[in-house]
Amino acid sequence: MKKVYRVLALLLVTASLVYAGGGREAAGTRTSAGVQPLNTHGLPIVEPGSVTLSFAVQDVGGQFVSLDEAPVWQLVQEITGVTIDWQLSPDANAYDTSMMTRLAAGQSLPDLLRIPGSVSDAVRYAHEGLLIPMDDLIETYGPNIQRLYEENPSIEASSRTPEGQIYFLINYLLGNENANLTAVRQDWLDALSIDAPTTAEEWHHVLKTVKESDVNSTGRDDIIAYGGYIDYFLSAFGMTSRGGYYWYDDNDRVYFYAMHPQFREYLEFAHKLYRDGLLDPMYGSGQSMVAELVPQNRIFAFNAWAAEPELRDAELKAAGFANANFEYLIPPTTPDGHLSFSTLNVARNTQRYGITKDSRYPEVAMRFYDFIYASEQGTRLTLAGIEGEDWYIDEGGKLQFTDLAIRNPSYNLIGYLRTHRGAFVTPMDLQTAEFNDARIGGKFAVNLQRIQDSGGNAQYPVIVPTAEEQERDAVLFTDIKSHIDEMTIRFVTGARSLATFDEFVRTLRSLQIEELTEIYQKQYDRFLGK
Amino acid sequence: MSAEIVVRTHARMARIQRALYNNRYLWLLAMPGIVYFIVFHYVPMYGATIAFRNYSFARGIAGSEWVGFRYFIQYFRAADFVRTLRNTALISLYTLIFGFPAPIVLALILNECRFSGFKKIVQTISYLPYFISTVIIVGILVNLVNPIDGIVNEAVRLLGHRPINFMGEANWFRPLYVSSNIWQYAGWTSIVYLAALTSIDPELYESAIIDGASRMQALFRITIPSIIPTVIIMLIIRMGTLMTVGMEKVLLMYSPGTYETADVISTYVYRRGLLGLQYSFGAAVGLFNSVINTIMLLTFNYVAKRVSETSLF
Repeated sequence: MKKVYRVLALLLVTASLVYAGGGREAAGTRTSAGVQPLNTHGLPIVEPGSVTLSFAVQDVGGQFVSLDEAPVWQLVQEITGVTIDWQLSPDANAYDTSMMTRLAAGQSLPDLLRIPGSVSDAVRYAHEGLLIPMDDLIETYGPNIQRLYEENPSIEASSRTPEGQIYFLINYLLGNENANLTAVRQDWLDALSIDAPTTAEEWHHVLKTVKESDVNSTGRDDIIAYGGYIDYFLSAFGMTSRGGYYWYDDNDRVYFYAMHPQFREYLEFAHKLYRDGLLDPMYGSGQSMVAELVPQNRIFAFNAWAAEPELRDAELKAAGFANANFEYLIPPTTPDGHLSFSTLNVARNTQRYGITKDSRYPEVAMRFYDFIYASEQGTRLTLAGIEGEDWYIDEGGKLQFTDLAIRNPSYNLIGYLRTHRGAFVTPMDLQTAEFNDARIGGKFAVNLQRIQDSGGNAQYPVIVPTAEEQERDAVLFTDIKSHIDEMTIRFVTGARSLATFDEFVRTLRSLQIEELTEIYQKQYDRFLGK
Repeated sequence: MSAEIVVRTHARMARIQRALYNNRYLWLLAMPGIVYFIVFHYVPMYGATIAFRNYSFARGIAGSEWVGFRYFIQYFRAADFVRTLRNTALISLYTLIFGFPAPIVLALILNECRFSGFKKIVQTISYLPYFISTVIIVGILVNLVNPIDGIVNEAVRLLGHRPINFMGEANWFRPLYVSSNIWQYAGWTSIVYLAALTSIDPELYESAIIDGASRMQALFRITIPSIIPTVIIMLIIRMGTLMTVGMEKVLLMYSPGTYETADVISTYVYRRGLLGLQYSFGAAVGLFNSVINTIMLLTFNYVAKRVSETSLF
């Protein structure tokens, strides 16, 4: 038997040598850029059908039309002459998982891709040489991107690494901003004759009153008082939040919420809500049924995006609840009336798009990005759908949606665009000013105005880290984040007593939260130009 | 080099060649399997060396800087080291204690069943969940236990208790994990034992009945001893994966609220290694896990050999 093993071992060694050798060769040879008839200006970008770019992103999903069948993306290909070879994953999570693995292997990458993970991850991929630098390409082939940067310097600032290079395009949001406010059933408040809450204490009182009432007339105790994120209440305790883990104070000092002097009181408040059964009963399980329960007339308050209350009202009315009326509430203030609340960044930088080292046509790729990312024609097509059918430009030069798009019997505007055109949710997650101004109005605009009038509008920029910052961040942040996530839930549900709060803070210190805060402070100072 | 050794080596090579040639069809038959293991199991082992390197995508595996045991030490010092180890061990242990006997009991019960029609129905229903993907199993589970209108919580409510947030409370994670595992696998695994049961010589039962043995006595004296070798082999195989907790299922079921009891080595590797882009760290932790598994397998195999004379090798 021993001899057989020896033969096997030999086989093994040979096989691994062959494998290792093969790998090295594949990594070493770079395919030279193919020759293609590229038009440096005007459309189409290339002779139709002569160039295929692979584009890896998550698909739109759900009942909406897939990107590789979407009419607007067929049109994009006709106009640019570029054939897109979509490499789609069913959703963002699946996409991140598979693309991270592909990037780690570093071979046969698509031409264009959404870079998975955080901005730190994107920088790491850039420093590792997987993404090509874009500065020269933008200079030559990106006139629309240059114009976008000139008009919105924050987009350019958020796109650059500290060394001053651009490796990726970031998603942006212009016009009427999406602030994820909380929507409440105004008709229920009216029926119970109570005022809309403004402070934490009032919120608790209102939620309790609603929960204990039978305002939805089912005869059962089945109302879910608050179906939203609890960090919405951070503003009632002097912190600023739109989720996430840290912010800056009035003196531009960066702090983690968990280390804020009032974080404990905030947790006590959230625990009180949980104890009294006012939160989502599935709180802390990572699951939620709130979206399904809103049209069943069982949710009092939830976090809503722009234009969602109108949509939910319509759903409820269709289900026979004629008086249903969701109204936005501005976030809770501290007892002395102070409000600090965040709207989304113009330069969102929550998603990033790059050109990989394996792309044979970086020039074509840049011209293609320029068209869909920043050109008027491209963004109108991919966001608002087809000209003449879905939208038109009125005498004042403003974009307006047609009746077909707005008053579609089966869908609201967004649903129509996504289902019939594959528009709006572009793979690049952009929102232009003319598009948002045409689609968002009514309830949302009024509340946005209220927040802006209160002076509570703040934004936290996503800042591109240096390589060293990225490395420390990667080591420190995962554990700190896990610990904060976990302990927040345990304190709120009461699985852990708040008497042990000091121990929680000590653990965070031992996980070097102070060093991480310093890193973020340095980045923020850099952003402020200090 | 002495001539004697050369001659001996030559003789040995000739013997190997002869042996290979004589069994050439057997080798041919085994070839696809051997190639599979080499390509998919042995060659990738080379990649495990990133556990000892500071892996950089750009420089590749061989080009990355060698850092020795740095990442192992980082893990041993990490705040979650003890917890992930404990959770992995406990979940495995509970799955073993409750999950391992379940299919045996099911097989024994089915074996005693007189109505073959009923037996077939039970068998079909019990092994059906095996063919449903874990994602869907967990989806069904979430629906069954959700505190809003889940059937389990309806029962809890009828008993006069407040609905329980099963998926969100750390105390409930392990019971849910283990019981849904039994639901998923007991029926399927019982097939192996049922096969072993059919191979028992019926004459044994006949003579037992003649000797006046009761059914219980026949069960304990004949049936169970006859399937013990099968049980031991299954147990040894199981021991080799004792410290491997299926990642997908934990990942689908857990949330920050249940990390306390649910966070196992493999999910920790996933969170830090893959999501946190610390590939070398993840590889080191994964390798550590595999080493424990190998030690467990060898130990248990050795013990089984000594105690019962049944062993894998």
